[in-house]
Amino acid sequence: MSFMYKVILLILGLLIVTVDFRSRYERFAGVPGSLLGIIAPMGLPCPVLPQESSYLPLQSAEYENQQYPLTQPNFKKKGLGMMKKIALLAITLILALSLFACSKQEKTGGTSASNADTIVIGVASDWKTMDPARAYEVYGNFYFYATYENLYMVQGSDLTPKPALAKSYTVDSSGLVYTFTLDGGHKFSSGNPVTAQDVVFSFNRTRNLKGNAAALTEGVAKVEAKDNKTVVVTLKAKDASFLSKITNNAYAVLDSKVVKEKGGTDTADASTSDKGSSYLDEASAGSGPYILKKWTANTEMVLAKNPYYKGTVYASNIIIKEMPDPNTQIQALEKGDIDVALSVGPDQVKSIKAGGNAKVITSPTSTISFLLMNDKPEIGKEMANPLVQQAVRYALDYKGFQQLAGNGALLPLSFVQKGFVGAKSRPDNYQNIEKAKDLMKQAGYEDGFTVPLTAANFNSEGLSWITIAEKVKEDLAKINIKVEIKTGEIGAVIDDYRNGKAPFLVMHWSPDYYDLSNQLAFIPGDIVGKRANWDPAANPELVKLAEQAKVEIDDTKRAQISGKMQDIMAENSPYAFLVQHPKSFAVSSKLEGAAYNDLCKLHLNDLKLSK
Amino acid sequence: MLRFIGRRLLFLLFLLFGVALFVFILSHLVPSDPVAANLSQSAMNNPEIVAAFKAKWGLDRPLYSQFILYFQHLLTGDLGTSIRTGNPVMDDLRQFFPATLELSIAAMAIALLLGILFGIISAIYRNKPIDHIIRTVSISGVSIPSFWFALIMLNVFSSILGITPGPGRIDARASTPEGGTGLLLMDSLMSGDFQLFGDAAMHLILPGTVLGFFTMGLIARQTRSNLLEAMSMDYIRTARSKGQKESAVIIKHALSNSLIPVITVAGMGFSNLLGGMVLVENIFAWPGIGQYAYLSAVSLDFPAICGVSLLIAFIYVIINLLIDILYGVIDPRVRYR
Repeated sequence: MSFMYKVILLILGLLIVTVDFRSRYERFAGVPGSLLGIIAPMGLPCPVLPQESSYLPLQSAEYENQQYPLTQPNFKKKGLGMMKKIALLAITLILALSLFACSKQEKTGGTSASNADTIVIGVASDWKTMDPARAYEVYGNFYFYATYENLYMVQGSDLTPKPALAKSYTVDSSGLVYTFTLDGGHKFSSGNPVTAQDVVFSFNRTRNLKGNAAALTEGVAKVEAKDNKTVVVTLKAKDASFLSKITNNAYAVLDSKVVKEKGGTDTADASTSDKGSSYLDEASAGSGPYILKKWTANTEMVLAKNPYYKGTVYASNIIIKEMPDPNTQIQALEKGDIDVALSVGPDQVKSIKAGGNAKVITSPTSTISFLLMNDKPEIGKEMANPLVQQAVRYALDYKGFQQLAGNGALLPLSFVQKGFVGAKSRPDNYQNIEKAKDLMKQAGYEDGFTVPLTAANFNSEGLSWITIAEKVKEDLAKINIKVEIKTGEIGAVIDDYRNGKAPFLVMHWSPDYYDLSNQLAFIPGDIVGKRANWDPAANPELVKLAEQAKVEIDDTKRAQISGKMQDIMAENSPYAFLVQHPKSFAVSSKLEGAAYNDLCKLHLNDLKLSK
Repeated sequence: MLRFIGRRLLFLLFLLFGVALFVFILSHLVPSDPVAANLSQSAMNNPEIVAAFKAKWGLDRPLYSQFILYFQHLLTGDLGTSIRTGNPVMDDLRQFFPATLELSIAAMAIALLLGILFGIISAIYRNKPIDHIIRTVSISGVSIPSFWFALIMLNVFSSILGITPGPGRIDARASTPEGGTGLLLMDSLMSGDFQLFGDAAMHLILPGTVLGFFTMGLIARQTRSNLLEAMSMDYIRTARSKGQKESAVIIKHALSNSLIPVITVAGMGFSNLLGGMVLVENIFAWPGIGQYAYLSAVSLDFPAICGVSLLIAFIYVIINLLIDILYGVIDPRVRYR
């Protein structure tokens, strides 16, 4: 299967680079449909009966070059000849086909009024589970935000936590004890009221299931319900990102009565004894705007309005169709089959013309592409030299990377994305080849060197890493660094990356939760720092600042710390941050309220079909 | 004949064991880790979560004991649980296979129907323009990559001309009915829902044509050359000299004698169908085994990968068995070999 896997990935890669055929076939737009429709489905024009020919028995030598006299004049005479029968069959088929086509159009025309109540979304999701205590997939919160509520949630395209189930919270002087007060009146889709006990059950279940989502609850020491409306969360250590983490599906609040009834548990042995997950794959148990009617993995999901939801909901039904191929999504959107084509890349979106049935929505994401230069001389060789690292940063053409990433691409100064506390930008004309050459000379590599650059066969928001690598190669050639691009499957490359074995590589980073703390992985000795073999001893100041950033609750002070760290890492680190990717997707021109949010992608209850 | 079938069935068991072993080893040789493929970055850093994951999926055991365990379960008809979907692999296959089966049958029907038809026309009008056109179409059927063809077909017939519906098994706003066999044509007929039947049938045309195109080309070419060869035989001359109708000569005498190699080719085409399935299902958003196999491969979902491979191997052998039996039905001489 490993070979199959490679072949499939290769072919899919080819598919991605294949030009959009739409433009090529535009010339057919003027051709009367019936004409092409008659010829093409049969693969042949209507057959014409051949002229009479003389019948002669053939010798085998003549066989190849002679007209074989199979058709006899009596073909014409005796009623319907075979060819006529075929022609008749063809015409009947075409008629039947066009009848179907007509009736189809009438049908969609007739039901368009009620369609405003149903929104269809095309997506290539990565859903594995619908249990909020287990999921961490990219499209996880897309579903959980539609069906569950958290104490604090994000709104619109903003990533800052806003009150949802809770109306407020307080932190004690130690910074460890958070007290949330529930906003009464929220009800689960079963009609049960949301209580503090439900919150405690849900948080404990996530922690004890020990799934992917549990990673976000590691910092929680205990959760208690003081009364029906008050929840007290005690942390193990001060954590400035706690509120951000709470907006994630790991902290979604479940209807504990229903989940317990279905075999769910929050006890310490939940990782083996919980039976609630399979129920949650079939039905939701939350207080969100929608309830799950049906989920067939890889096929479709059907959501219906939750009658007990407090806020506004426009569409009564949402149908989410799995469409793994982005071109398919765009075609279905332009045809009116779906209203949102969510998982498409910059290339597919480019093909959408203004003023048609579809419009493009572009928004920044928190995904950053970067180059990692291994800081360990045995592995990174020349790349481990700080002067070379700085020269690489000067040699890169940042404007070019922004163009590659598409409209709306941003350029962060270093490891903090726009949208996070204290984020700074690098000027896009930062490139300075002279300075870079000078640095190379100082490092003793005036004549340059050769370095392998690993780029997996993968992409960030539709931009291929191999394309990025080619651009890097082109830029670094200007300062005599000869780059040899090495590609591989993401599965194989990521192992080298995680073990810190790659000297020079293209990678991206997209956050697990939306807070500065998540980005501290880049500092020396932390997750990504280790992968770059960047030791804490290399820059103790950064390590100290990072410790402060983790616990500082005051936003102004935190922004200062964040800025200081970015300034240091912009000039002195084994990374070059290339671009903060935008996300582009397409929606029907009739659809309103579609704002992209990097955490939950779309707020489904905001979507509204006009007319 | 029965002994022949029995022998083949016994062989099937060995083959399935071989496939299970082979796929199991191959998929474990992939140089990446199912833990990394299925756990998040932060979860990977927590030894407790990693240990729980490994224990749950038996990844903490040595490889041979994983295989023994897998095989023991296999003997009881249990294909294990998919890491990706969390469902028993058997259930997943049961869910996704009908869609693939329906599509393959449609593709095969289209391929056989058009292929034999084109082959006959081509042979009758040898070297006439129509023959050239058909031969061009057949050759392109064998040489055009299916995903490219799929995209073009979808563009032309669905987006531009609007003759056929878009991707999916049924209208995007309709919902797949629950229960039944999962074969939409059959289910809708049984429940008397003719609108659904029409909808499902229309959705089968494009992917069926794309998938069957390769086989269609093979069959058309094979039929043409066999028919031409048969037509030069003495018994055809005899038939003609008896004053039989030309159509009867072609269909009764020539065609029936040309069909055996066509069946072989159709069998070959069917195996190609299974390969093309992955891409075509992806493009047509067809919720079948092909898509399931692809997604399982990407997330290194070993039980699912093994399950799909076993299923495909099983179908492969069964198809070959059926072809051999068909041989015997069409040509009695084969039975005595």
